[in-house]
Amino acid sequence: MNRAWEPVSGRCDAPAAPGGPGGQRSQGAGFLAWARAGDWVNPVAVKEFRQAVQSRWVIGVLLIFLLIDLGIVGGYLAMTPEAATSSHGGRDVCGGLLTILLLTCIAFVPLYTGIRLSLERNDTNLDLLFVTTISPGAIVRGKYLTAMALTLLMFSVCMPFIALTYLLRGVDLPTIFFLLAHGFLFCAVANGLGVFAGAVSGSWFIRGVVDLGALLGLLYLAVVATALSQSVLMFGTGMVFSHMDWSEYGITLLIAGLGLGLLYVLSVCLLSPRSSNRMFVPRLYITGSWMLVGILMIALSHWERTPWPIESWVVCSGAAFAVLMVAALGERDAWSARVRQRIPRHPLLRLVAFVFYTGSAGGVLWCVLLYGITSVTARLWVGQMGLATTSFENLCGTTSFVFGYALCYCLTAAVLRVTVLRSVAPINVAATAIFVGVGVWLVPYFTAFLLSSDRFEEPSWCLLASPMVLATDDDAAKAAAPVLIAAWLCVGVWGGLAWMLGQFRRFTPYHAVRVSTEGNPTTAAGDGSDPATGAAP
Amino acid sequence: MDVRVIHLKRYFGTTRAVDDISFEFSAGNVFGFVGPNGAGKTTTMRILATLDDPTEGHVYINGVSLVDNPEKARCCVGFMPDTLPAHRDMTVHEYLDFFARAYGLRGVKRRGVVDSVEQFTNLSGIRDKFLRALSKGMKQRVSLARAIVHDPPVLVLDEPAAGLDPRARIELRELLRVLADRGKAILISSHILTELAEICNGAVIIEQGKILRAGPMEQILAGGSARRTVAIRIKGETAALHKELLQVPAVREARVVGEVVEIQTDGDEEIHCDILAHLVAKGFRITDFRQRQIDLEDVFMNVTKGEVQ
Repeated sequence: MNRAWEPVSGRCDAPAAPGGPGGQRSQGAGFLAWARAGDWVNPVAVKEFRQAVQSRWVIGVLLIFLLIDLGIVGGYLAMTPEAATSSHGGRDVCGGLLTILLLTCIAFVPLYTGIRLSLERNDTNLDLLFVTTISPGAIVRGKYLTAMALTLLMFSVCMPFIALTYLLRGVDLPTIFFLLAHGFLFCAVANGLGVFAGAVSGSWFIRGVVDLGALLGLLYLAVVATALSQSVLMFGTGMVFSHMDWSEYGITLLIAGLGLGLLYVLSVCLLSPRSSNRMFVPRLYITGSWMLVGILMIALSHWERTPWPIESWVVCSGAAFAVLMVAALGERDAWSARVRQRIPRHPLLRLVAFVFYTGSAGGVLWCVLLYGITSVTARLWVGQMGLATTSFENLCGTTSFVFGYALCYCLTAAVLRVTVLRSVAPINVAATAIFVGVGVWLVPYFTAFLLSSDRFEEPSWCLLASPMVLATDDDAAKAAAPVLIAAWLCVGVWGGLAWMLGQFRRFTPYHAVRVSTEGNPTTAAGDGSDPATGAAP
Repeated sequence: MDVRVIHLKRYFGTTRAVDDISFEFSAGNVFGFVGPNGAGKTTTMRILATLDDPTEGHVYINGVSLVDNPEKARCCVGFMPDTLPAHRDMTVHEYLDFFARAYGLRGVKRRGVVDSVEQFTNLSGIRDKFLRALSKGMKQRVSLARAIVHDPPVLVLDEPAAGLDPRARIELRELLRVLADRGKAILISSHILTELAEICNGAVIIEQGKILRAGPMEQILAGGSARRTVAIRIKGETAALHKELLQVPAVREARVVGEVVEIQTDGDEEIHCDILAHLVAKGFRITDFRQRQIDLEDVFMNVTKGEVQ
């Protein structure tokens, strides 16, 4: 081996290998400028681009895609005698091309990106991304940038064929541009979903649930994108623009943008070290987004004198915070020294930090608080504006019931955590809440179904412990549901109080660790707690 | 640059992979990390590389806690895992170039560093080959090159010699000596104890997650066993020598091995001198009287039981 290595100074005693970066210095100024620019591109993106262009899988998909496009255009021209005179030939071919383009981009690119990231998160491959000083944010941005570049490549492959459809008549240029721009937006959201699903680690159950959700999300995006493109092609952009509700359109775009941002912060959170304050930024982001959407919905409701924007806000917030509450249960219930060093000393600020920092009890409290504020604000606003309707009351009531059930399952899992599940990993507490929810729904239902003599009679009373009772026709069972939730919540809060207070007691500031030159590390202020776990002495 | 492992624990459910271990090593030293399979070596090394979090305890690199500031500590550690790079669609040069970029090296400096590391580890000839097409030995070199590309002051090498041919092993030994001479603190695990003993200044012997011996090599070898082995060869019948030696009080055990009688004593060199003088006085014509050196392998066999959790 050559002993001439001097990595600090970057000096290379040996002659640079021909053709390699070190040997390319004799090339033109343009190349040097290009190489210098390349230095500042995200390292993960550079690696991914290199792997993508050398991947048989990517090249294979691109070639197949090109052949399908050629087949659609060529097949139409060869097999349709009236192709030259038809007034809708361009529209039909464009519809076919767009469908293939959107399905390929929404299915292939996110799957490719997600699977690659997932493999790099595998224990045997962790060295590739997780021993360097590169930040989790840069990893996510690099992966996302590559996915978007691949999407752009797909679009550019399809572009000449779509340009040809304009010559075939039946479709105008604004429609083509509108559809391509919207298709690209759908792909952007799909790619964010792919990166997020790839960033999830943990047990097969958690990954399975997230991957299934991501696949359903991709399917939904593909169906909506294809349906939108077909309907716009059918009616043309002129018709669409003249009937479009621009406020709804703007809010839809805003929510899509906020959703994409959420996927980004959640992906970064998943790639961050376990000892870090992982959920702090996502909670801040979600709180900010929730406030922004709430203000917009209130303004829209005021402007259009209708309660539907408030209804949408309440329903979406209820569903989102119920899911986030279950996910929060899987967070840590003891804090690392790294997090504890950032806990404020002021009692009030400490309480705020408890709600926003990583932590299972704080997470549940944060979800309950935000949903509570949503529900109260919505009712006050609608009452103030005189917009209250039976439909609004029913919708808000149903959402609150569903959220209440989710809270009951979470508190039950928390009680199990402090009683019988002390030694399980925190992530399994979230899984316990899901099992409780599914269990109290399915087990009594199927038991009643099997034991009942009349198989056609709906066993509505057996569904009392799940939100499915609200979907039955049994008014007595529906009326009993609030009583059950109230009783369950009382027991759950009483039982879960030890869990929540225990965590709040452990959520104390940690004095800076000082490493002595001779002995073991000592805490400067000598709080006597364990430096790694934060456990009290 | 010093590395201090303090009361480190890592539990997987009821399995105590690492159970309250503490040791330290500093710049310019090569520290061996020895233990049977499943002893907790790789787990400890993964914690040192910030790939895993300890259940309890701390690791400090020059005062920076790996638990509290893993991002800050990463620039100080070069980790060579026991799993080899096998990423798809990536050449050796692209792999090293990616890591140089990821560690923040830019422009001419990055290109120079990657080229010189390739030269240093004899990878220049295969720089355009795909990682998957490489032999195990070549992948080991790529992995080592990756670990040193950002010139870290601490190197954590998990079984770097596994699968290497004799020439590559000698080259690796040389390379580690050069790196230690340049002030790197190196922690290296290996099952080839004779080679470790040649290059290490110190060692940690671990079994079932607990440290059995730790410290400078001389201390470890000295504390390995109180018994010394001496091989004696004479001109004439070994049976008579064997019979005579069994009557010497300082001799704990004596056995005939071919034409040599091996004895074990509890004492130091004074006792060996007395035994030699006694045999000469008895008229034995001694041609060879040699104390066998205790090596790391002996210590390892003496202190470990080969138990796994």
